[in-house]
Amino acid sequence: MKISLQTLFALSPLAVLVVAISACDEDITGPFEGSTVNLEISHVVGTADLVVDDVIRYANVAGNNYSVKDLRYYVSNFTVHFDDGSTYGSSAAHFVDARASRSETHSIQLENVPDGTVVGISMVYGLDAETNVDGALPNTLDTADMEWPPPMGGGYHYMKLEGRWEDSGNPGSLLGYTTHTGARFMPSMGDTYRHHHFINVYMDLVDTAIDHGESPEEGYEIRITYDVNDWYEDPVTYDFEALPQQMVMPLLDVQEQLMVNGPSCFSASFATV
Amino acid sequence: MKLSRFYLPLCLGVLVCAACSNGTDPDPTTYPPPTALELALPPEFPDPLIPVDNPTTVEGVRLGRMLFYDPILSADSSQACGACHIQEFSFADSLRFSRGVAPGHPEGDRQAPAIINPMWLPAAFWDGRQPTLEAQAGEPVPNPIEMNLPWSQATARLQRHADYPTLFGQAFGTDVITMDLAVKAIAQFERTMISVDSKFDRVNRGLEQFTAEQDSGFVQFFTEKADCFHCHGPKLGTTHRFNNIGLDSVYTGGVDRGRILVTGNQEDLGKFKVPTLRNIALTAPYMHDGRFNTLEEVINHYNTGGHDPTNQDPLVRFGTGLGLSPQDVQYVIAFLNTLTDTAYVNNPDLSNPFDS
Repeated sequence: MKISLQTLFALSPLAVLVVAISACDEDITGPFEGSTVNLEISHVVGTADLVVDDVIRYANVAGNNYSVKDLRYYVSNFTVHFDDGSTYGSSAAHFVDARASRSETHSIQLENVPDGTVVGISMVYGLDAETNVDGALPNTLDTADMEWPPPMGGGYHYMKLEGRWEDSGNPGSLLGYTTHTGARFMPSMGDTYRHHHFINVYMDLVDTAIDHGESPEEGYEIRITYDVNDWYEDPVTYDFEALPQQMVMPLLDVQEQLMVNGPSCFSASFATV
Repeated sequence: MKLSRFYLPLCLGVLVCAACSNGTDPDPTTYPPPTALELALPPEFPDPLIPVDNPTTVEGVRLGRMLFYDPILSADSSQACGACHIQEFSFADSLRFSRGVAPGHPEGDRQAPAIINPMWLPAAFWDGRQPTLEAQAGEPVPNPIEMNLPWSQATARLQRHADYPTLFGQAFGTDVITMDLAVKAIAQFERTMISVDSKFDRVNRGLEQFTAEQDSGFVQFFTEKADCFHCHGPKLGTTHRFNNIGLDSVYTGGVDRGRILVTGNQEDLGKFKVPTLRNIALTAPYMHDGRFNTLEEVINHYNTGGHDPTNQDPLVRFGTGLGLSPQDVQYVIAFLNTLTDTAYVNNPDLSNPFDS
């Protein structure tokens, strides 16, 4: 799935930090009775809707046939971009569980969005360095197992993507994959040093005017499509037969390779509802 | 290892505060409102699950504790809840399958699970078939292979009892005893079963230190080497999810089919609820059917990668296993032993009131 993105700048932690700060500079300032923008996230694998279960339904670009048993993640820092260069957003983090039974978690609202012509929306897939620390997020039963364990530096997984795949060298055999992403603890750099991983995503939108005086009763909707297959392609093909599928949490090269692929998972379109 | 930031000092003292309503239209002229019991909860735990129509009260917990331990709720008045959920074993049973009171004392079909921190339990039983402690408490009494007493007879017995009508009145404002009120009382008592004083907890609070062997096991447990933590997190010791961990690959010949019996969903074949590992050293035998007698057997199951049912959990590494050496296994067991909370299994407030 090819989509227009302006994201690869996100690969350096320094660049990520700068972007996050600049976005905050023009963030929400005081109450404003603007429009509500509803962000609806839908999950697909290539051309198919995502079904979270144990059935081998999908194939990635490397030819691995696989299932998606679990997809849970954090998204944060949603920011609307206007044609005059201004932005409006929220630093809030949201937990999403892609299982159909948890579909209510796929809808996120941005309130009081000011009038203007929207040209794009950005978000952090995952949690920025400030948020990805122990205790920064509400501790709920649903999210308790998103924690990144203490010996690995603490904080949170920003994604758990799990399932099984067919080992072509051993027909009929299913092996597990656990694409778990988060910060890399590097004790050699100091007791508390963590190499943070998260992904800045910018999604172009066809210029659309938001006018709270004329906004429909339910507000506006931006539909974000999340293609799971793109974790394993574009630009780097990730072949389960050649690269680690398990125990990737401490692997810096794998974590960073996934960060390269992550931005292409997302596209967005505007809808008036 | 600096862990004190994960676990703040805990105070488990019980605070008695203002009265509250329990939603059962109490008659204040006969019974004063029950007294709300506010438990000092571990701050690092998620919000507990307490139904709005069954707040925890001093009187309700007292009544629930009596009902939990009173054999009056079994057909032959020989067996209470506490007969199979034994405090010494963290409210589990040391038998592979508990035996009921019916003639011949039939065996149950699953291992009696431990009761630890049930206030955070989103689904009860190995297959998760009941959503609340109240609903769970309703099942064993009439179950023919457990206590084998219809609730109509159980409540009639309680109604005739010299003390219970008054105890129900004090707890719920009415001395008309019903199953609904009885299970509410038992659930209230169970919500006081809070365990957060193991050595692991005390290390997290900076009060103690692991031995070298325990620390090695801790690191293996909480990294992907032994990879226990993905299902058994640091606070509750469980995700409460339902997994097929590859204990079986064929589900014929009486092999327990697990959660599929509840949902009818093929995806749930052979799935069971992930149990907490808190007090795990006290709760042998292990698994839903008690097939493993030791923690070493349990770890060796994961170390060999499971039997590969089609829906085996990806975290159970079929084909490769964990790759733990025998020494690694012993380190993990050394850590698991630090999850034992002896204060919990000796807590007099949770003990059999009829023994004193």
